[in-house]
Amino acid sequence: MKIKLKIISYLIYHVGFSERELEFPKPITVEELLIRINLKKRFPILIIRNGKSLNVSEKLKNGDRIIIAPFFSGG
Amino acid sequence: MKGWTGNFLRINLTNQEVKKEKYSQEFAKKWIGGRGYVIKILWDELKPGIDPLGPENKLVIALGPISGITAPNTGKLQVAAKSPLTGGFGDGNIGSKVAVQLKKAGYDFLIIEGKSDKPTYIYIKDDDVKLLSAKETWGKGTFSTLEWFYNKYSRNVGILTIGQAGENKVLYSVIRSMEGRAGGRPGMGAVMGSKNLKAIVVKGTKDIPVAEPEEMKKIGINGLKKVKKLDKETGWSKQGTTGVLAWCNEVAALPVRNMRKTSSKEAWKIDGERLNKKRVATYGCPNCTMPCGIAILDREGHQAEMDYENIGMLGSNLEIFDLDQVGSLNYMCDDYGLDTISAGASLSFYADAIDQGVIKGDFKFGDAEKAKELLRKIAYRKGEGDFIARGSKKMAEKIGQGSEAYAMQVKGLEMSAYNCKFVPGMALAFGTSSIGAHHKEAWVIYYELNKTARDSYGKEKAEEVVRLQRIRMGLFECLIACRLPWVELGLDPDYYVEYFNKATGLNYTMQDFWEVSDRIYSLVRAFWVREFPDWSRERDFPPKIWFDPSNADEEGIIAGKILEYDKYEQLLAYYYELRKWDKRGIPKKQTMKELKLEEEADELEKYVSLK
Repeated sequence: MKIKLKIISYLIYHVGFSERELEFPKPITVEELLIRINLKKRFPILIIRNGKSLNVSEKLKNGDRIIIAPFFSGG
Repeated sequence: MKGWTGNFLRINLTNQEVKKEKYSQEFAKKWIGGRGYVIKILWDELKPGIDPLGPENKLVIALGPISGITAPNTGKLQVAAKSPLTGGFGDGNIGSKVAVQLKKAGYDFLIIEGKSDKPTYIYIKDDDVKLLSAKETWGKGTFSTLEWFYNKYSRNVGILTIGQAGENKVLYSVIRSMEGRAGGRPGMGAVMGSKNLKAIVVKGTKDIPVAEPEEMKKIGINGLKKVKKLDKETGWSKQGTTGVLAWCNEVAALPVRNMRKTSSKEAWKIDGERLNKKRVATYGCPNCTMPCGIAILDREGHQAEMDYENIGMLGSNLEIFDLDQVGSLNYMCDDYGLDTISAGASLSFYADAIDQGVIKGDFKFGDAEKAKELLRKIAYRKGEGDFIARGSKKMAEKIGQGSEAYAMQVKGLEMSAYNCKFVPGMALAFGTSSIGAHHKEAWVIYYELNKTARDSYGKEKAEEVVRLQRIRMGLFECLIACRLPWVELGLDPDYYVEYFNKATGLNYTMQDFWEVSDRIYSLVRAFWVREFPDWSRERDFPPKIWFDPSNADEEGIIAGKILEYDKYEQLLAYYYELRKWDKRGIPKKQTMKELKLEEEADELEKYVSLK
């Protein structure tokens, strides 16, 4: 399974890259992805697929473009 | 009084008179400071219908009760006047050493009246206030003007100044400070220029009166350390505000080609990651431990201090995806004293109108060199620049031929860098922002796209807009402090309530600040209505093109989607309901009474009937 991952803002400096194609032998969840890229429970973050938010238990699909952004509180 | 000094200066430039006056604690408690002060003063002292560029207009510069005191991001002040760009209420928020120095000089605000017959600057050192000749700086850009004053008075003074754009009364010229700081988008620079006022220089040496100095010192320093720690842990200031550009591009909310497009494959070339790599210096406001001003070298080798709005409006919205060139445009705006948002939007409207064939010209999207030429012409009001200097609304009124639909503004003020062709809540935030389309009062887009259904026009979006407007206006722009420690790093707004109480000796709650905020919003709206008695809710609508199906994206995540007119109207109705305003968007008489605005309601009734 291949996904494209785009990291936003300061999270880039924690993950080590801003954009990358990743390949996994079997489908994984958002939570498993966060563990792989060292972001689990570090900061409040948001995960977006096709413009819509995902929760951590959702499974990723082959060909997904996933955006991970810090949670700005807005103001 | 504690926190407040209780003093202000009334400076009349026509007869060169300076009066030191006092005001009451009742006034302070009712309006807090900053935005509360400026709207009340302008409401009381300006006659409706005056020429914003005439001597009858007044420029008010106000601090808040914690301005300048050691705590996170308190180095800010408010500037305000009747706007020459919109004809309504205009203000802005600037990071400046003036916030610190004016407080130490013993004043909470300045009311500047009349018009000097020759270029002048105001020099304030404690009780010594002088009006001096600005002959040697008139005609200079803001960078060399600041340098001139540094050489004369040292770098320890606070300075507010205008560039050539303000002198020449460009309708979206701003007031500038500390090289990279600017404020007063709706033409506050032009108001200064119209008064022949080049600069205000301030030095204060007095102690700031506060109720609990030891406790404040402890809380203030702890706050500064906490913000610094949070910034270090996250790395927020590596990209500062520009981190949001890549997100806007991904969620189809980036301004591209006069907001006709919502994303670009070239956006990465001007994003926060690229900017951080090119950084040569970092700048911030006084009392800031999370500085967001990222400077790069522009095409000509100047240090250009960038943020997201500048890059969005002078970069992607003009389809200029060369960071050095965007830096050049940014630097030029800063030097001339032009608002980067409205300058970018007015240029993009001009390019769009040419592209649509409704006006002749040789400016095209993507042409950075021509954009530079036009910025020069705008600042000096030469040739076509004189036309573009009026802003997109007035340009469209002159051009006609349907161009009003794609003049990207509300109430005459250009949109900042969020493309809301399919973001209803943020469109409402632009529609109801109290100076025209500006993002700062309710940056609801992130909440909206991440926590709600994008196509919803539900009441929760109006509630969030009001909630954010209350915190931003009732708390941050009254106290005054920058909102970024809260917005970006999650510092609890209650921190500032506690700090306010320690400064003033009062015992306010967040609810008290919200009440003040609601009072301010209703009085700002009353100010607009008094200027435009034919007020209707149409003035709170975004541009028509956002409702036009032919403008929908052809591909991508919002393909085929646009705002829906009837649903937006319903969302606006929810907003009015929450504010207790009538269907026209005018505060009800009972609402004004509840907000302790009885006298103001009587005055407003001279112009419109209140429900």
